Amino acid sequence: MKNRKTNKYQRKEVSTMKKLMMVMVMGLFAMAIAVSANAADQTQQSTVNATVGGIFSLSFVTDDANVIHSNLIPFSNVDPSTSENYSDGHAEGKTDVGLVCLSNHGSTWKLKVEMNGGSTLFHKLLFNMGQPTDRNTSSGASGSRTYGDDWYEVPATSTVLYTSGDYDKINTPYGVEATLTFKINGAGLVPGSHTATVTYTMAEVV
Amino acid sequence: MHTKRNNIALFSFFLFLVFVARAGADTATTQADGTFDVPQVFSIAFYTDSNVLYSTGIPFSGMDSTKTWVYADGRNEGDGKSDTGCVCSSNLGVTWYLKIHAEATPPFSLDKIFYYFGQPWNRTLGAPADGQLARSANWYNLPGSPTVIYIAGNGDKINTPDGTLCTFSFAINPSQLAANRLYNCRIVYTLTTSA
Repeated sequence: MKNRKTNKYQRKEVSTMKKLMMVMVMGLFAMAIAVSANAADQTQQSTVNATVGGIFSLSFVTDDANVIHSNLIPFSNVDPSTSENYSDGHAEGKTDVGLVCLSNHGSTWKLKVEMNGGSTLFHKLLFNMGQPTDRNTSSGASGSRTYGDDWYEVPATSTVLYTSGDYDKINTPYGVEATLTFKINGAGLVPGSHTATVTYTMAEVV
Repeated sequence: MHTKRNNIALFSFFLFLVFVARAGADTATTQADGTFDVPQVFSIAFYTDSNVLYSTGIPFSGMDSTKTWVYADGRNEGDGKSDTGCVCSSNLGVTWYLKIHAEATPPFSLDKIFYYFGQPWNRTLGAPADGQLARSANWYNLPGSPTVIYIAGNGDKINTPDGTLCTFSFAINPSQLAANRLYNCRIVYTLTTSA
């Protein structure tokens, strides 16, 4: 009798287990139906906020092998009998000084030059400047020169050489390069040492 | 004597009943009926930690315009960090796709901004995700329309509870950008089941 009562409980337990399994299977089946459906797109967004530091600078060219001087231009052997005295190391295709004008202000700027009028080289020191180069594009800059392709005396007062064009107003990262060549007319110069200070100015037109 | 025998039999019967009852009490059964609902998970959420610096806002402050490649604030070349991270979670059991695109506010333009995206990380498994990059890990311009950058692998299809982490770095070329103005660009990350 004891065994028969035990079997009765076992049968009830088996029956219960079957019911539980059936429920679980049905639940899993329902879940399978639910998860196989496509879901709506989900998105997130970031906003980039960027500002640029201002730059407005004038510097000597140092990375051009065809520009042979910068803050010092030596004329070691000026011949007083000729007007064609060039700087030491000068050669065809080379220039004495290169200036990089850099700006991202978005405004017009001007490149100016002057020399100290008290120098004995006043009226003797001449310059020539071609059309500046846009270093970003390696082509002619978009502005205009005051002087043409010729030799001119370096003025004693600050005088505009170049006025920037539209593409010069924001010319980063490489700027606009202006190159100048100088010569000295030796006629009338007394023997000895002569110096002149040439000042270059980049001025923003506000 | 007959009565004594009957008493013994009766007592034994009662003892038997006691033993049977106790045997019945040792075999107990329980029964439970229930349904199991597993909620659907399909989500993309920002992730940040000490190596993932930003989420909804990515700052590029005072960029040096003499350079052509600038990282976000606090970032440097090869620093091992990322700008943003997105955790893509799914228990749908189907392939999902991560897309990216950007919208620039003029005068800023999409040719100025770049992104880098490498192999994602399955955070649940603690291993590289087994999906496929649409393009090899490198720097690319941000596209102007939603573009697939990652295709989920088998391990990504059900990647709960911790999801798959996708990290991004950005860079800007500030040349030809004016000083002292704010430039904006909106970057959108999309998790989808549509290729």
